[in-house]
Amino acid sequence: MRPYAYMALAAAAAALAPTDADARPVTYPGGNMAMVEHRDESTTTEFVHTLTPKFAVGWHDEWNDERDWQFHGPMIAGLAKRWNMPDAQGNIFWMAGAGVAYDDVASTGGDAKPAAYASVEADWENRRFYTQYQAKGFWAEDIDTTFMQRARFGVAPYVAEAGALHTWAILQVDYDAEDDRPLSVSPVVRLFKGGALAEAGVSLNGDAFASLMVYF
Amino acid sequence: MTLFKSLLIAAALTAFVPAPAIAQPNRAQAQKAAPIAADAVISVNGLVCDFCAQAIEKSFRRRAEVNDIRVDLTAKVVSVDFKPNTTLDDATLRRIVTNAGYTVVSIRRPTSSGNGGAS
Repeated sequence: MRPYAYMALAAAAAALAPTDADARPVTYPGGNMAMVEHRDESTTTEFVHTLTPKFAVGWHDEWNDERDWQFHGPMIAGLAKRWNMPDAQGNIFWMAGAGVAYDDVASTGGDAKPAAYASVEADWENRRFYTQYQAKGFWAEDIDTTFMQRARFGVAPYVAEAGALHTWAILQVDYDAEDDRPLSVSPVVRLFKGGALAEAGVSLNGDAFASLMVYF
Repeated sequence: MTLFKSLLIAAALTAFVPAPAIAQPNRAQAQKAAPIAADAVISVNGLVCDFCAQAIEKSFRRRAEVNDIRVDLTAKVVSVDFKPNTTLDDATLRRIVTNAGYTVVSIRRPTSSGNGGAS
């Protein structure tokens, strides 16, 4: 099958397909990552600056219209472990943030409460396959407490060289016990070229998302 | 959000992709993988994605001694061309790759007489 046909299939899969952007939170010393994501009824923005090979700092904003809160605060991220193999790489990352959450923004203008989140992420990939697991807990006093898990499995329809367009067709499974529909399955398409990474998808429940990340 | 909007998003994303890169990725790859006049060829473990290449390229380009750099994901090597009369020693090359998050397997100097070789 020609690569263009794979692209068409990936786009079709995306049209059926939520996720947030699964960027590598720690890049390289001096490296930056900016991300914006819109997912059905929530929008997230994040900026991360890597200080050392294993540590990064940043700022995280999130607006959740469905649960009627927003969060703003600084964050830190670390690379706990990396396995560099001849044909593959595995990573364990951790992330944490603390700040202020505002409740009932739409009706009252917001009631500020302390809030925090923490997550751990493990991934393994080679040039053809990609797997990832992520667990994230969010707490905001008297506003919301959530714990979500995500697993991803991706396939590259063709193997691309550095600088070329990289395409991934990804199947994502989300679990959030507090959600009206705890289990969500989403086909996702990822395009990566140069320092820009874009993802789009729609879950089988009909929740759509799109994200854009830029590394610089 | 409706399915129609989702389709629009997917279509918009694909619209940003240059058509030649979609239709003929092999040609684009061949162009990018063309060899450079490397003064140092570093074999690296963990090179599996374009993100890896970006991290290594940007780390090397910050060095004033580096004239050009090429990452070959298939061969798993990083080729570095130094500016005239400059070089970086093996320890420095190893440190740049390691700080970028990858593991050096070996370092070769194909044109060791060109820029004075390893220091």
